[in-house]
This record gives sequence, C-alpha cells and structure tokens, in this order.
Amino acid sequence: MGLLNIKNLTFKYKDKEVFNKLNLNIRKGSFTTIFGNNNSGKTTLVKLIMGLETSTNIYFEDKMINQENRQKIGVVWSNPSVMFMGNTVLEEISFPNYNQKDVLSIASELNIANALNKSISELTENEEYLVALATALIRKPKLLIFDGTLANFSHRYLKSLTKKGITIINFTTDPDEILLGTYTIFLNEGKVYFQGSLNRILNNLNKLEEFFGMPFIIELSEKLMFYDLIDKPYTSMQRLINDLWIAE
Amino acid sequence: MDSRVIGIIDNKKYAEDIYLNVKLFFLETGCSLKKIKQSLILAGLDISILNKNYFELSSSEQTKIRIAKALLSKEVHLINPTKNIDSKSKQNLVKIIKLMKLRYNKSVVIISRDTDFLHQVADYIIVMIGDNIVTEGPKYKIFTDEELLKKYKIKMPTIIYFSKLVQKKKNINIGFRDDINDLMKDIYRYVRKGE
Repeated sequence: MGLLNIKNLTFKYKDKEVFNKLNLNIRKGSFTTIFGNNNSGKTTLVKLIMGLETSTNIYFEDKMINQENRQKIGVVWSNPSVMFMGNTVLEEISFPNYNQKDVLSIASELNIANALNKSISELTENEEYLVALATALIRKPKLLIFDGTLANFSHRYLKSLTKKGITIINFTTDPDEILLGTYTIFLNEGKVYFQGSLNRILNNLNKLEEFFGMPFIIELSEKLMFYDLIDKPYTSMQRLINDLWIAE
Repeated sequence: MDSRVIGIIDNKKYAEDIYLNVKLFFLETGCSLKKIKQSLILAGLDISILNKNYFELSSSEQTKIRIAKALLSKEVHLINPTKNIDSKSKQNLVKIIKLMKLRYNKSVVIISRDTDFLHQVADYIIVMIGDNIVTEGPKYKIFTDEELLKKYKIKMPTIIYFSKLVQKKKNINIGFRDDINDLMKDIYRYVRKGE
C-alpha cells in the first residue's frame, strides 16, 4: 500500500469547495511531484496532511493520520520564517528537545554548522530555507514535503535523501521540476487531472498543455518536432543536442 | 528618455506589507477605483478581491495584488513578483511588463532571483550583496558569464544554458536568445544549413 493515502477527501474552505472526493496515493520511496496551478488546492492539501486543517480521510502507513504518526513527516513550508520559534539557529533546529550532537550532525550535512549561533533575523533567505530543512530532517522523517520550496536545495542532495529511503513529495508550480521526480500528479481545481511517470506524460502532452506549463526541454522538443528536426520529445538536453547535430 | 526594465538580483529578505483589507491596500495609491479595477484585471485577478481581507488570500493572490498595486505607479517596482505564481500567470506577467515598457513608457525595476524570468523581461541586470552593487551590465553579458554566475550562486537562465551546452558539446555557436521561438529559428536555420 502507499505511504500516504488520501481517500475520498472532501474539504470546504469558508464557502468555497476545495476538494470533492479527492483520491491520491503516494508510493513509499518515491519522489512525487504534485503539480498544480494557483488555487488548485496544493497548500490546503499540505495543511490537511500536517493537521493545520482537520480531516479524517488521510492515512499514513495505513493508519489514519494523527498527532503521533505525523511526527514522521517533515515539511519545508513556503514561508519558513513564519514558523520559526527560536532566537538562534541552534535553538530553532534543536526544538523541542534534540541534542546538540544531532543538531551539529544535520547542520554539517547542510553546510550551516558555522551559522548555529546566528540570530534567526540575521539569516539570508537561502540560509532560512536550509534551517527549515534541518528542522524537518532532524526528526528523521519517513516523508518529506516541500511546499514550493524545492528550488532552494541541490538536486543531488535531494536524490541522496530518496536513496536513504525518505519519500519525497514536491508541491510545485514550476514545470521544470516535473523532470526531477519519478512520478507526477497534476492537480487542477481540486481534482487529480492526470498522473503518471515521465514517459506517460510525454505520451499525453496535448492533453496536459491545455492547463499546465511544460518544462523548457519539452517545449523546445515540441517545436523541433513541428519542424521535423526530431521525432520524439526529449527530457535530457544533452541527448537532444547529440541527436540534433548528428552529422556535423 | 528610453524606458527600460532593470532587474536586481540580491540576497536580501523582504518583509511583505500587509493590510487588513485589500481595498485599503489599494486606496493608499490615490488612484481612482476605475484604474484600480483595470490594474487588478491586468494582474489576472477578479475585482471581487477588493472585498476580501488580506489573510483570506492564497499566496499567489498575495503576490498578484502586489503586482497590481505596483502597476499603478509611474515607476513600477516589483519585489519577488514570481514568488508562488504558476507558469501561466508568469507568462501573463511577462506580457504585462513588456506592455508597461513599450506602450506605457514606464520604467520598471524588478528585484528577483528568478533568472529565467528576469532574462525574459529585463534589459539590464544589477547584482547586489546586502547594500552593495557587486556587478552590473546588460543582461546578455551577465547571464552568459559562467564564472560570475557561479561566484554569486546565480542560476543561469535555461535558454542561455542550452546555447552554452551546444557550444560545449558540438563546438557550434548558435547565439543567445531570450525567447524560445527565436531560439527555435536559430536552431532551424543552423540544422538546415548543415544538411
């Protein structure tokens, strides 16, 4: 079964219906992109998963999600400083009671060990995101969620996290990030419009482009296909360039 | 005076203005309701947003009302205008900025780290660290300088990266563009020529 399961979720925010019987499954060990335009419900979904809004239709490891199993989920929110509670970086990462050794370990991994004594208000935007990631990772999560914040971290590092067994969900509006994950779920107006692996996406571009922007390389591929310079869409720039100029 | 679009890349954090309600947020500009409504529509918002409270807004709506407010000034100042907005809205924003520059002759200053976006709309780039300008120049000069970008941890615009990769892999110079359709024409011309 999936690591995270959403079954028939219906949710209204004030008078507006955000989700109507939404069904969504996140496979364990996957790097899933949840791609949606503005107001498709992305942030609301993160809030529901993390308990900032109530729902009974969300399951984590086959059990209904609650205060306890939520401890195994880390989130990097889009406005991390709003969530910060400590005065210094050290305080923030150790909250509520992680020991110094663990804090130093994760801070070193993220290259912010020398910022531990810095005041939260002194941090650059990039440092803020690294601190936010540190606070999420120190709890050794099984699931890591990014709410529009993936661009602040190196792809190589993120892939190393999945190799360690952490399942990643990336909520985003950036089409290029579709190329990073193993699976993409397209959300439109509170419903799953389409989902699949990169290959499946490439075979359904016409259907998707009606509502969603596409990565640069795919957009370029389509234009090249129109002029008969290539015969299929590419996801790798290197391969595209290789094949395009085969005879020099 | 030639109007132009200046992009500023810096590492500062910007506190965002918040007001209790959206109408108040706009009335501060001193513009007529008619102009405010026009600006909202340009920014891709429904005029009913005027009746909402700031905290009811989604993150993309918060960004868009700031864009709408900035459009009402003679000199348009935008701070992180692509934060939390989707690709269709971004395309719309590119059009609006070009409109401001070419049709309304307004000067536009954009502070952003979104280099793909800046490359599409800006003419000139200024890079700042804290309050200091560390380098500046026409956008093609800045965005094609690999060492500079690496030094200041600035992401090279994808469309420039593509041309660079062609140069490296095939030793062919197809030139640098800011629009994918123009790039397409360059590629087509070159590949056809080589046949």
